[in-house]
Parts: sequence; C-alpha cells; structure tokens
Amino acid sequence: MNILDLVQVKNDKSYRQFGIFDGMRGVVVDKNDTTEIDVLFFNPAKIGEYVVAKISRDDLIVEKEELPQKAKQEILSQLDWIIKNAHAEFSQNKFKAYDNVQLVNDDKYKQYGLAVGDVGTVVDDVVVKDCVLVQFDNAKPDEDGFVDCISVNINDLIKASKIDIS
Amino acid sequence: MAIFNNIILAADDDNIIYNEWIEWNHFGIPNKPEWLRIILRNFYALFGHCLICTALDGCYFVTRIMPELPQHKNCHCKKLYIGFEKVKHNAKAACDIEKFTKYAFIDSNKKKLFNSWGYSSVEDAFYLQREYCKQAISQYVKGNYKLKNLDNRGQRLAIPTCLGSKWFYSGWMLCPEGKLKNATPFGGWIK
Ligand SMILES: [Zn+2]
Repeated sequence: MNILDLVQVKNDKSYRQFGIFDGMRGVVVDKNDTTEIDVLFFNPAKIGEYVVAKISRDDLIVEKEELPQKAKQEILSQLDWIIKNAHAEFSQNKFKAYDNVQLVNDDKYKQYGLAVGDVGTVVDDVVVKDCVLVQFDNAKPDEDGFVDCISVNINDLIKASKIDIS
Repeated sequence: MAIFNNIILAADDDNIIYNEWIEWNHFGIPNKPEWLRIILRNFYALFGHCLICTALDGCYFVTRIMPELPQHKNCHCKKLYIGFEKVKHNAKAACDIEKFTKYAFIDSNKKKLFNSWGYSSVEDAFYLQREYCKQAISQYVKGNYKLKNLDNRGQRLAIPTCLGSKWFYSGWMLCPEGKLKNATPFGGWIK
C-alpha cells in the first residue's frame, strides 16, 4: 500500500465510532507501510471536514483509480498540515433533509425578501461552507416568478415546526 | 439530417433555436466515479479552489444559457464543445420520492396545491416522481431551462413542468454529465 492510494473499507465494525462505514472510500496518508494504516476520510455530510483514522491493512482494498498527478503533488506538499488539522470524529449535522427551519438572523437574506421568523424546509442537508439548502415559500419571486432554494448558514437557523393551515 | 439534429431544434412555439452544447471543465476532476469526484472536490476546497467552479465541472449547458466564464479572477475553467448526441445519451433525472411524501404533500402551502390537483397518496408520489423526471430530461435536452442560483453547491435550474394543463417551474440541481436532481417540486407559475 502506498501513500495517496485510494482505498475502500471492507469492515466497519471497529470504525463506526469515527463514522466510517463499510464501502467508504479514503486516501492513505501513512508514510509507513505497517499493519495499521492512517487513512483520511471526508465527512459525506459536510464538505471539507475529514478525519484520519487507523485502519487495519486487512480491512482495506486498494482501488484501481488514482488521484490525478497534479492533485497528488498539491496534497503531498501540504500533507503535514492536512494531518494536523484533521478532526477527531465527524461532527453531527444540526438539521436533516425536510426539517422545518426558522430564520433567526436575516442579515444575508433580506435580498431574498426574507426576515427573522420566516420558516422554510431543508431540501439538502449536506453542509457546504456551513450552509444547508433551504426552500422558503415566502421568499421574493424573481423576474420569472420563480422562488429558488437558497444556501443558509446553519447558525442563522433553528428547528421549527410548521403550522398546517389547510 | 443527423448533423442538423445535433445543433438545431424546433422550440415548442415553432421557432427555430440554435443549441450548441458545452461541458464546463475545471482541471483535475473526473466526472466519474462519483466518490472520487467528491474526494477531489473536498481536497480542492481545503486548498482554497473555488467551490463554484468545481461544482460546475462536468456540467452540460447550451452556450446561450450558461454561467459566466470566467467565474472569477484567475479562473482556469474552460468550455469543451460537445455534441447533442452525448447530452441526449447521458442526461438523466432523479427525484427523491420524499420530495412529495415528506415535502409537497406535507408543507402547508404546497400541500394545498398538490391536493387540489388530486395528488396525496404514495402511489401519486411514485407517479409524480416518474413524470417529473421524464419532463425534466425532455425540457433540458431542448435547452429549455433557466439559470437560477449558482453557489458552492452548484447551478440550480428552473425547468418548465406541466401537470394537468397547468404549467409551472420545478427547481433542479444540475450535476455533471447532464444529471438533474430535483430540489423543489414547485418553484412558481410560468408567467
Ligand atoms: Zn473556474
């Protein structure tokens, strides 16, 4: 097994505590070819968050795909920094898809016609740069009469229950 | 005739429109497999690459309706010209059943609308799932879409959708190789 090999976990019993499951793909970041290998895994629920976990060599298979050469060079040049900044475990998302959420800070969302107290629905719960995707039915329609979902910072939202007025 | 089919389509209003397709290309990200694409987008995010550009990578657009290129200073993205046959072959749409069972049939505003059209059951949700996907692909390959929000997650499209005789927009996330993922089943009436 070589550094920056792409690998797949074939046994998740020992690694669930880190949020690592069977079939998950990661990148070998271990400079030593030992029985336990340091592997980097990105959090599927949060872009940019990652852990580095020790995985038994017997629980890994090497994928046939490889990282592009240019990406390998960039990763290798910053590998120590990457490993140092790894999270101990994947953080849990505050919201899940189809949760009703209420806006508690409207600074960035007034442009969409939104105000504190407005309630929307999470339509994509993967966190990207601290944002989830939310549909607010009362947002201002654009020139086509279309109300698009918007990325909203998770710190600007709390869980809400929506009153059924039907 | 095949050559003309690649670039010219008759619009619904019988006007002739010119459809020239491109694939957005950010270096170093393969379209497939999906898991490798995600790993690379994550690494590039750590290194400060533009998440908008890496989200757009691999997406197909008609040149008359595409995001601005370059997206920003030092944007190295390129447009690669592709044939209509490739778009038609690869385009696929996905719509989670929960978009109806956990959202459109539940949300107080949308529920009234969908119930008034006679949709409320799980069977209706499966019907709508098929219908939405069929219509989204059909409209998208004609270049019949509007660009909406573009952010770190990617490009959203508004796509004309018809139920009964009512025309409205549904909202979709555009993913690489002509893949559409439903974001919202109802985004507003077509004016
Ligand atoms: Zn770019």
